[in-house]
Order: sequence, then C-alpha cells, then structure tokens
Amino acid sequence: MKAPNLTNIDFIAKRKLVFAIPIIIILAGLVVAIVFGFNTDLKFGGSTVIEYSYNGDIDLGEIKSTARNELGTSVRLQVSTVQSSGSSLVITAPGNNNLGDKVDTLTEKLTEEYPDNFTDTSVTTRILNSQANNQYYYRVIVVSACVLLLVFVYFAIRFRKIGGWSAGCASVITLVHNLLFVVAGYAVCRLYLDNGIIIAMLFVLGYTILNTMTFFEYIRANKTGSNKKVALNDLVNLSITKNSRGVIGITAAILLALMVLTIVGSGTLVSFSIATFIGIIASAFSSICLVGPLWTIFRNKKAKTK
Amino acid sequence: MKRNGKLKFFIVLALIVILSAFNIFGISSQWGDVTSIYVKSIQDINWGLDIGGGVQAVFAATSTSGEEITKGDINKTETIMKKRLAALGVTEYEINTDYTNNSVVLRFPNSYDASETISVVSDAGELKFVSGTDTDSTTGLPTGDTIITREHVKSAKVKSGYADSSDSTLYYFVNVTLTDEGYQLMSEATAAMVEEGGGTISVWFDNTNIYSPKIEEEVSSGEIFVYSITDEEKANLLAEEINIGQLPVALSSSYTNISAAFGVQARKTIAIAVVAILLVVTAYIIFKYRYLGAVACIALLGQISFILILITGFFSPFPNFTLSFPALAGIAVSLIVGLTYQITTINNISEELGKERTLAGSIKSAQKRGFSSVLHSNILLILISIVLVGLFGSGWFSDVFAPLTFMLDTVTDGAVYSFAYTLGIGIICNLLAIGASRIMLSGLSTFDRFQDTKFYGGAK
Repeated sequence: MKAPNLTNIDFIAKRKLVFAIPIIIILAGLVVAIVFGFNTDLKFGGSTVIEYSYNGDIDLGEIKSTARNELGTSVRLQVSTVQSSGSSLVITAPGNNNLGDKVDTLTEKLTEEYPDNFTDTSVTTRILNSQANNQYYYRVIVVSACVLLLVFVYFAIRFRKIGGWSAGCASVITLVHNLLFVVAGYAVCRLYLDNGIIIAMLFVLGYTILNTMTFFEYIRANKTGSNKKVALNDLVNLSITKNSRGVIGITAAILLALMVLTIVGSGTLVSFSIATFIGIIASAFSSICLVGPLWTIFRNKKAKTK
Repeated sequence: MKRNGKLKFFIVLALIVILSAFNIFGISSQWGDVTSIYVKSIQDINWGLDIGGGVQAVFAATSTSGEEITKGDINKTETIMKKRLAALGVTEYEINTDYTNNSVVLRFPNSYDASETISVVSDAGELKFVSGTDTDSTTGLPTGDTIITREHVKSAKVKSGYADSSDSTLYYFVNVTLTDEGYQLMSEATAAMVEEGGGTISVWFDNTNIYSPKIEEEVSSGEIFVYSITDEEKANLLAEEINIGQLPVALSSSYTNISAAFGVQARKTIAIAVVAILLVVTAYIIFKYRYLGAVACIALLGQISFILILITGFFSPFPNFTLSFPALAGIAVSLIVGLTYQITTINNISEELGKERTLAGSIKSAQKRGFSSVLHSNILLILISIVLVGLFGSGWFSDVFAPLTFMLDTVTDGAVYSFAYTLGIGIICNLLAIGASRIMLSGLSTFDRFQDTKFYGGAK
C-alpha cells in the first residue's frame, strides 16, 4: 500500500468543491435526524425492562430472537441472579412506550416454548425513564463550550506566530465538522443512541485534535524552516502533502481496527464502530482537505482588514 | 558507544517484555491463607457494568407522610441518590427512575462495595436533635421532644483536631451550622434545661444516636458539634449526607447480581476483539513500515503495559480503576497518539535520509521533529481529559471546577469520566513509550546488521 501522490493537487484552488461535500452530507444527516429522529436507548430515551424468573439452563441466543420477534424491537438480554432464589431473565427493550399486550404474548410464547424453564408466569415490568434529564444536557452544553474554548485558546497560543486566531478558528470548525459527522452517522444509519455515541464523539475528538495539531506543526516547521517568502498557498499545499502521509497510514490502521470490532462485537460495539468509522474518515478528510483551506481563508481575511 | 546502544536496546526490550508478562500473569505472594496481589493479572481486572456486569438494586419508595408519591418525589430521590453516589466516589453507574412502580433502579459494577453503597444511598438522611436520652424499649427510637431537624441546619462541615491535650489521636469533628430559626430554638431549649439544673440532648442521624451532650450552659453559637470519629472518610460522608439532605420518601431496597450489559459472553467478546485488533494492526504496521514498524509496535506494547499497571492500582496515587468499554476507548485513543508519533517519526526518518544525512543524525533529528509535533497534542488532550474528569466525575477534580457548574445539579457520567481518565493516564504513559522507542531506535542503528539505510525507509 503506497500513499497516493498528493504533491500536485492544489487543495486551496479546489476549496469550493471541498467545502460543498461535507456541508451537503451533514445537512442530509441533520434532515434525517429531524424528520425521523434518533433511535434512542436506555440512556437517552428510557426503556422497558421485563423480568422473568426461570429454572435451569436457557439458550439466550434463541430467546433473544424470540423476544426480538414478539416485541418488534431490538432487545438486550441479561441474567440476574440472587444466591438464595435462583435466576431471572432481564429483557431490556428501548423506548419507554408501554409494550402492553406484546409482553403478554411474549410470556405465552416463552412458557409454551420452554415449559421446563419458565414455570412461573409472573412478570415484573419496569418502565425506566431516560438517564439524561435537562440537567444532564445543561452540563453537556457547559462541558462542550469549555472544551471548544480550550481547543481554540490552545491553538491560538501555540500558533500565535503563524496567525493564532486563524488556527484556533480553523481547528474548532474542523472539530465541530467531524463531530457532526458522527451525529449524522447515528441518524442516517439508524443506530441506537446510547453510550456508544458519546464514546464515538470523544474518540473522534481525540483523533481530530491530533491530526489538526500535526498539520499546524508542519505549517510552522515549513514556514520557519524554508524560505520565508514562500507563498501562503504553496506553504499550505506542501504541509497538507507532508501531513497526509502520516494521516493516511494511521487512518488505515484505525479503520482496520474498527472493522475487526464490527465483525467481533454486537450491539453498542457495532454502532460505536460504524459511527466512529464515519467520524475517522471525516477527520482524515478534514485534516487533508478542510483545515488548510479554512486557515488560509481566515488568514487572508485578517490580512485584508489590516 | 556502539556497545552501549546495543545494551540499551536489549534492556528496554527486556523491560517491556517483563512488564507485559507481569500484566498477563500478575504478581502476588501467598502468606498462609492471605494472598497479596501487587500487580493484577488480566484475570483480576475490575470490569465495568457493560463488560463484567454488576449489581442491580431496586429501591421501592413508600410514602412517609401518608400522601401519595408524586413524580417529583421520585425525581428528587434520584437527585439525592446521585449526590450521595458522588460523595461515595461511585462514578460508574446507571440510574433510572420508574414512575409506574414508584421506584428507582440503580446498577453499578462489582468493584464497589454493594452493601455499603446500597445502605448509604437509601439512608433516610434524617437528622434531629431530641431532648433527653430516653428511648422506646421496643423500637429503640427516641421518645423525647424533637427540638430541631434537618430543616434547621444550613450546612455541615468537618474539622480535624485533638480531643484533649494528652491524647495524640487525630479526630475528625462534624459541625453543623444552624439557621437563625434553628439557633433560636436550640438556645431556648438549652436555656430551659440550664434553668432546670442541666439536661441532655441526643443527636440522631437515621435512627442512630450519634452524640448525647450534657447541657450545662445555653448554646451561644450557631455552629454545633455533632459527631467525632478517627476515620476521616466516615466523618466526611456524614457531613456530605447532612448537606445533601433528606430523602422525600422511605426506600426499601433489594438487590441482585446482573450479567454484563454487552451480553453474557461480553468478556470473551472483548478479549477476542482486543487480541484480534492488536494482531491486525501490528501486522499492518510491520507490513507497511518493516523494521521500524516492529520497533513502533514494541514501544506501543510498552505503553499498554504501563497503562495497565497504572490503572490496576499498582502505584498508590492511581486508584484501582474499573475498565469499561469507554475506558478501553480512552486507552485506544492514547495508543493512536502513540502510533502517530511513531509513524510521523518513521516518515521523518526517510525524509531526513533523503537529505543525505548520516543514519544516526537522521534518526535523531526525525525523532526531535516527531516529538515536538506530538507533544502539544499530548498536552492539549491531557487538559481536555482534566476538564472532562472534573465536569463529569466526582472528587477533588470536580471541586476545582465547581465554580463553573454551581448553577447545575450534580451530574456524573461514568462513560465520559472513564474515557477521560484512561485517556489522561494513557497519554502520560505515551511519553514513557516515546522514551523507550527513542532508545530502541538509536540502539538499533548501532547494530552492524542494521546499518543499511534501506531498513529505515531510505533510498534502496
């Protein structure tokens, strides 16, 4: 596998095309999110928990597909044990809408199919509310603001000699762009919203900061290292080319890892992998095609106002 | 010099191999029946709720006032429980309210003490000052008149000091500050007792008598001492519980063990995934970057070992951490940071060699450039993880950030907290791994076999 030769591509000249692609994708994602909403799970949308006590050994795989068919939604199966009084099966279905009759048919089906295991037909149904209340979202807003501010300030100070504010703005926009891709991924792929989205967003946040930082370090090194009169556009194109070698190598490694996780895992692991896959591609794309042109736009604007 | 480099290469390699072996097999000693574990083996790691399962406790609410329980009562109960969990240092949990059964369902991993957590969380949190020490012989509850209750207490705090000059044991005293009304009620009650020739007041917390001072003079300050103990944690917990307040309902609890949220086979799935990912990524890196890739992978293995040792509580300042999927993702991101340094350096070396430098000089200058570019990512990511741990966790980190969130209720998010914590630890370890790979690379370049620049990505 050899990194494609990017030396001859003028990223700055193609910026209109480059900006249009992600905007269209993100908008499409947001439209899907608004029209169809998200599939929510325990954490964000509440859930219905059904508990049956049972005897002996049961085949969880078979019961899972039975429960999925009867309840008409994806389910999570857990076994709960008390030392003195045996085991019970905990079935968690997303959404806190009352499943009503469906629970009764599921009970009938289970006692019919596994008469030895499910002798006790008493069912405990709990309708759990979402864990994320308004207070949670307030805090998320405060935390996001703090993190974005921190990123902005850090980039502005670190790269003050090469237009700190421009670097700060470009990196914050890139970061938000990549995170929106993760959100859009959850909406478009109809993934269940749970802890996975939080982890995926944090994961992409970490990777984006790494890529953006490396890119600006290249700009700094190339600017101080080479002839200072190199035109801004050439400087950016050269830095992008140098940065892209590393980015492509590492991105390929991460994507391989995520593919393995998708194959091996299930549930949250898979939805996390899919969304992170999208986010990592967005991150690689933005560190090659987005952050450089953005930085030049901000720099040129600043130069004009001066 | 040449020999020195070789020696260093093998020392670092051996250290990493030994550390990895420690992590897989653990170190423990057996003295009679007591086994002390110094380094946890993979078997002994505390797994999170998602991978290892844990405890499910159901708290059913019953009304104390005789009125019907409202949704507001349940919500308030949940908020108080969250605050108490934060005071206990329990960060990884799932809590849900259930209006249909008037209950709260709490799940937390096995690494927390189940009976302590459940009993503290479901405490009524009732504080009262009663005149006299008489108790009912059957229930053990006080029979005297209640002078003041939790309503009359503004706040509680802990002070440390000595009980008297001859005793060198350090005690922790819990003091409560009364509201104006509370102070008035107390001074009236104590004044009456003094007039009658003295009396006793008993202080009760959740039906336990914690202190019974003899009253010889009228209370003259709004700050009253209620409890002393040598255990700082218990004193802090009591003060926190008083500050957090009283539950609006009475709770009865029952708990069961519950299997992993990722499925009964979660641990196996995660183990397979981790091993498969490590194998695939290592194979890819070695295939793409050859010898330098192999050195990079050894350095990353070193980083993983450092992280595991810090997370499993080998060094006392780093507590024994619960590994959940978010925590693993945090480690993964720190490994990506490590990988970025390695690959940037590898690319730099071939670039430097192109400038027709000497091998040793190219490696040195490539490492320097790679380090300066990755250093600031490391610092920024550590700062971000401090912000996330502070704002979504509990403990002193979050106290630092309290001014930012004074308007908000206590909210912790175990997923964010775990991710940020392991990311921070991982990045510290990343710096160690960078050191290891520096020594190994410069060591490698002194080997006679590895003098040809083609091993380093130079022109063939």
